[in-house]
Formats: sequence, structure tokens, C-alpha cells
Amino acid sequence: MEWLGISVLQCVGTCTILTRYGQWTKEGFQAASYPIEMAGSHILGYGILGAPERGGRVRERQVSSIKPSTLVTTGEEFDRLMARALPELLDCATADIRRFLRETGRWADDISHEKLAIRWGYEQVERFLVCGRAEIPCRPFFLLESFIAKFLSQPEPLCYQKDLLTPLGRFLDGLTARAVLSRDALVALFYHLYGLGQSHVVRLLGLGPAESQRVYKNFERWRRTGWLRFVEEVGLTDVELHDIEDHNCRYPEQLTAEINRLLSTIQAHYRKSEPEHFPCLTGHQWAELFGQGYGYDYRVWHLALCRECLVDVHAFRQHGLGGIPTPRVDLHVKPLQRSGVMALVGIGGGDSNGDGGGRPTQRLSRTSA
Amino acid sequence: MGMEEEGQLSAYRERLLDSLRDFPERRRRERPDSLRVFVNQECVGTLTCGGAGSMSVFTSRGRPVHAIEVRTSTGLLVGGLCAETAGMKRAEFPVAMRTLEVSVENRLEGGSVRVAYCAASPVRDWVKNRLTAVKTGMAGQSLSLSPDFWRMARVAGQAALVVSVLLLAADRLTDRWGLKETVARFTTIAETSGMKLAAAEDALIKQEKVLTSLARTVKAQKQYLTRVQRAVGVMAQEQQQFSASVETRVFAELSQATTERERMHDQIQSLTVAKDAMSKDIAVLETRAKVAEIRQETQVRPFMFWVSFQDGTPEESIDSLIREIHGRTGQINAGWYKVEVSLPPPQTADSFVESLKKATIVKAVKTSLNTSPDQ
Repeated sequence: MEWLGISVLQCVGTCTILTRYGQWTKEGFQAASYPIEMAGSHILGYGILGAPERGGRVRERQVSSIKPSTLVTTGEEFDRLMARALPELLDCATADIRRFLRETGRWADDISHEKLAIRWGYEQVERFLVCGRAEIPCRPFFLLESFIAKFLSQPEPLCYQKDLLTPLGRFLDGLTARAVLSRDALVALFYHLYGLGQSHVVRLLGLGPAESQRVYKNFERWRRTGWLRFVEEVGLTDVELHDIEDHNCRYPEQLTAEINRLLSTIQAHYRKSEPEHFPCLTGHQWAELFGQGYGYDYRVWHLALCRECLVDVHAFRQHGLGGIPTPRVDLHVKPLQRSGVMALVGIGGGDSNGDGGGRPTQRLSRTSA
Repeated sequence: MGMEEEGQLSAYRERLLDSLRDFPERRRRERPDSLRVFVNQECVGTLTCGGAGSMSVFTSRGRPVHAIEVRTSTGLLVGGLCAETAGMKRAEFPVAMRTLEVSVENRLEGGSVRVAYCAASPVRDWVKNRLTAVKTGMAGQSLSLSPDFWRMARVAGQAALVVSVLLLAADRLTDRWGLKETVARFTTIAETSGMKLAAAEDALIKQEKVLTSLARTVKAQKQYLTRVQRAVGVMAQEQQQFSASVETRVFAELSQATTERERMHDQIQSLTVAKDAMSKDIAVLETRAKVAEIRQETQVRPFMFWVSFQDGTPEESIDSLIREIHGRTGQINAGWYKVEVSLPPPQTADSFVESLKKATIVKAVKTSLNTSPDQ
């Protein structure tokens, strides 16, 4: 099936998509860009229809067409198609995730769900860019759908809960999901969730100089680029981050209670990602592990993702910790600023008017302390 | 959703698309210090990137492998593979001037994954780079060739032709002048060549000998191999025969065991029937015994004895006692009265005699006149 074009029947409200098999009308069309779903499965094309101005004039109209049955036979062809078809692939993946959420009764027509579908679709496309190249010759669009179907057929593939769609929920969920993939984010959890700096973590986890250096050697990288990438990928705007911080200042107890509630769900889900370090140890086992000086990876990984065990370990080691208070939720939205000052300017296009038209301009600028 | 939200969504989508567009470049730039291996979205191992390279092997039991991902410590995906349901798959990914090899094999009982980070072959890289450069250069040249270039090339070609003709003529002249020297030189060369030829012939003869011995060895090896093959064939045949005989024996044993089992089953059946019949008989006998016992218990038994009384005991007292014990008197012999009573079931003859002896008028009691009376 191929696109033949788009015709706007009304300025706002209806869009008709023309295909060689006939025309298809979509009611309630308002989006600046719109993924086209048809026959329940395939993206047939991708159209960008500019948001109409007050006078009813369409600002922009652009249609690109790539056949979903396109066959690639070499690595170069694959790379070329990927470079050209990323919007279509992202929309295809987003539509699949959206349909999965809808079919499992987890969908609502709001921006939070749309963002969630785009984020998970993006993760699938990123995987596909790497894994798909090993499947040549292939038809990439069909292959992507197969990849996604395989991923979604696993038990509980996604950490979905309605409460996690709030800015705070997305922050915690995104950060913990990132920690599963990134060592930098994992170590950063101690600071973002409990406000524990390097010296505190090193003492609490009983790390020696070598382990401490190994764990924290790339922490600067998280401060510099990792955190920013996480915020961008989760889609948190500057306004949303500011709101969380503001709420934390004004109602700390309320926010802490909310975080405690969400963390139990989030940590329980993401701890499954490392079976070797998954089980919570008993007090005796922790004592043996610390006493005999082994399991450094276990300490870092498990304690970053298990609040209960962190508190247990603190209770067990408190005599040698030199006054480190019991770890409790102490949210820090932005990364620790040790050797630099961070300037946030319009993260994620989330400027106050919510237009969000441009690229994020947030950058970290370093100044001497 | 309103226009404002649509705008936000569109911006978010564009940002993620930019991130995807930048993804290949980020992978190229990445210089990882360690790599983490994820199997089915679960971290199963870490590879260090320093030194000669490292390898990680993971085996999953009972659960097939769906997907493998290899990520740097920043979380960047640098390699991955989607596994087949059954079978093997392998892929290579360039990571920081090195090669990341990922292979996976799924079987019925699970899957195994091997991830190796090793140095890429420098020769291969060099050739690849050269080829790419040449390809790029040629492509660039073909685009930039102009008529001036072709004109210059034609002029250069003509000049090269003239120079070649001149050099050829000079060469012929030189040949003529130095013919004698050349003949002498050729004679020397021929002598030297003759010596070399002789040496070469010697070497060839030696090589021929070596080849002959080699051929002999090969022939011997071939014969040995044939013998081994024959032995293996015989062994295989024997094994087959043995298997067949074992099979036959096992079948015979099995059939015998089956027959035996059936026979035993029949015996057990007949024993069961006999046991049932015997149980019935026993029940009947028990019933009869009980009836007999009951009858015996309820039957009144006659008991005859001899009793003598104290001297001077009046006849009325004697009659009164006889009546009291419901006795039936018989003959009297030398002061001994023969009496018969009917004893009710619980009472025994001994207890009756004992109780009778307690009567004041009774002198002695005995059960027979021939025996001495019980006092």
C-alpha cells in the first residue's frame, strides 16, 4: 500500500488520507505530526500536517512515503534506510506499544500515555538499530514489528502503573530504568534518592579505595551528560522538574510518603533485571558478606535498588559509620554539583508556554568553585 | 489533547528522533572501559575492555534466550542479537576499534550465549581502510574528471610512447655492439647453469627418494587404515550381532518373565478363590463352634456322687438337704447315699462338692465308692 497524499477537508477536525485502496478519514485531527495506522498493524506512511493557523491556512505540509515491505539485502542498504526511515520506524513502534497498552487495558487518551508509548517505542527502535543489522536480508518494518511482538510477549515486559505517569513517577521510573542499563545511573541513585554523596556511600557500603575508585570514576560523566540524556529520554520538561523540586520544598513529608510508595513498586520491578544480585540477604548474610570482604558488586547493585536492605545494612554497620544518619528518602532532582554549576535553560522544549517546538537547550556549564 | 499538549508531544518525539539519528555516531565515539551483557533484559555478566580482550559465556537452563544486548557503563547499546527459537546465530560489532563478537545457540533445554571482546585484526582494518579510501577516491575522481584532464592525459600518453620507442632503438644498438661479450657471458652463464642443473638434478633425485619413501609410508598408512577400517567393520558387525543376541535374549527373558508373571497371576487368582472359599468355611465352622459352645454352656449337666452324714443325723434333715439341692437319691450302701443332681451351667462339680461339704450334717462326699471320699 502506498500513500498518495493527504487532503485536508477541514482546517481542524478531519484529515483524509488517500491510498490507492481508497481514502481513509481521521476525525479529530489536530496533531502537528501524525502517525498513520491502518489495518491494525502497519504504518503505511508518515505525514506531517502543520497545525492550522487562525486563518485556516496550513503552515506546513510534508509527506514522505516508504513501503513497509521494503527489502534490504546489504548492511549499507540497511544503514541508508534506517537513516531515512527513523520517523516511520519510531511511529510504527509507538503504535505497537500503544496498541499493546490499549489491549491490556492500560491506556488513556492523554499526553502521559502518549509520551510513555513514544518512550518505549524509542527504546525498541534503538534496540532494532543494533539487532536488526544481524538479520539482513530482511524487511525492516516487518522485522521491527516481530522484534516488538517478541519483546511484548515476555511476562511483564514493561513497568506500567498509572501512578508512574505523573512527573514524579516518570522521574523515579526513568531513573531506575536507566540504572538497570547504566552503572553511572546506578551509583547516582544513592544521591538522587537518599542524598548520599560519595564519602557516605563508600563508608556505608564498606568499599575500599580500589572499589571506590572503580565505582565513582565515571560519576562526573553522569553529572555532565548522563543525567541530561535521562531527562531528555524520559521527556521531563524544565517546568515539571521545577514543580517536583518546588513540591519537595513545600511539602517534603507528603512527597516522601509518595516516593516511598512508588519506590516499592519500581524497585521490585527493576531488581528482577539482575537475578544474580536480586535476593535480599538476611542480617547474618550481610554481616558475613561485609565481615569477609567480598560481594562488592552485590552491595552496590542491590543496595542501590533496595531501600529495605539499605536500612538494614545501616543498622548493622552504624557503629563504624561515624554518624551517617539512617538512609531515608531525600529526593534530589538534579545531580550533585561538586565542581561545577548547572544551568538549566528550557529542558525538553518545556518552556513555560508549553509550545515545545524547539530542541532542548539545556547545557551544563562548569565554573571554578 | 489540546494544541499545547500536541506541541509538547511533537517536540518530545523530535528530540527522541534526534537521539536516534545521533545513535550511530555515539556508538562510534564510545570508548568503553567495561561492557555489560544482558540476556532477556537481565544482566548476566561484565566484560573488561582493557588488555587483549575478554569473554563471557552464559548458559540458560530451561528457558530459551530471546535477546542479547551488550551495553557500556553509560547504558549505550553497542551490540545485540535477537535469537532464533532453535539454532545458532552470530554477529560482530565494531566497538572502539575492536570487535565485539556475540553468538547465541538455542536448544530444547535452554540456550547459551558467548560474548567476546577482542582486538580487530590490524591487517584486515588496514585493507578495509585502504579499500574504502580507494573507493572514495575513485568515486570522487570520477565526479571531478574534466575535458582538460583528458587532454593532459593524452599528451602525457603520447610523450611516454615516444620515449619508449627511443629507448627500444637504443637497446637494439647496444645489443649489436656487445654481441661478443654477450656470447662469452652466456657461455659462463651456461657453465654455471650446467653446474646448477646438476645440483638441481641431485636435489630432484633426493626429493624423488623422499617422495618414494613418503609414498611408501602413505601406502603403509593406507593399508593400516584399511586394516583398522576392517577391524572397525568387524567390531561394528560383532556389536550388531551382540546387540541382536542381547536383544533376542532380552526378548526371550522378557517373554519368559511375562509368562511367569501370568502364571503367578493365575496362581494368585486361584489362591484368592481358595482363600475366599476357606474364609467361608472358617466362618461356617466358627459359627458352628459358637453354636456348640452356646449349647454346651446352656446344657444342664447331671452329676452323681456319694455322701455320708454325721452319726445321729435324723432322716428329716437328710431329706431336707436332698430336696434343697434338688437331688435324686438312689441306693444306700454302708451309710453312703447315692445322689444325682443337675448342675446349672456356671456351676462346676468341684464347687458343688465344696459347698455341699460346708453343710453341718454332711460328713463326707465322694464321687465313687471305690475311691477314698473327699473329706
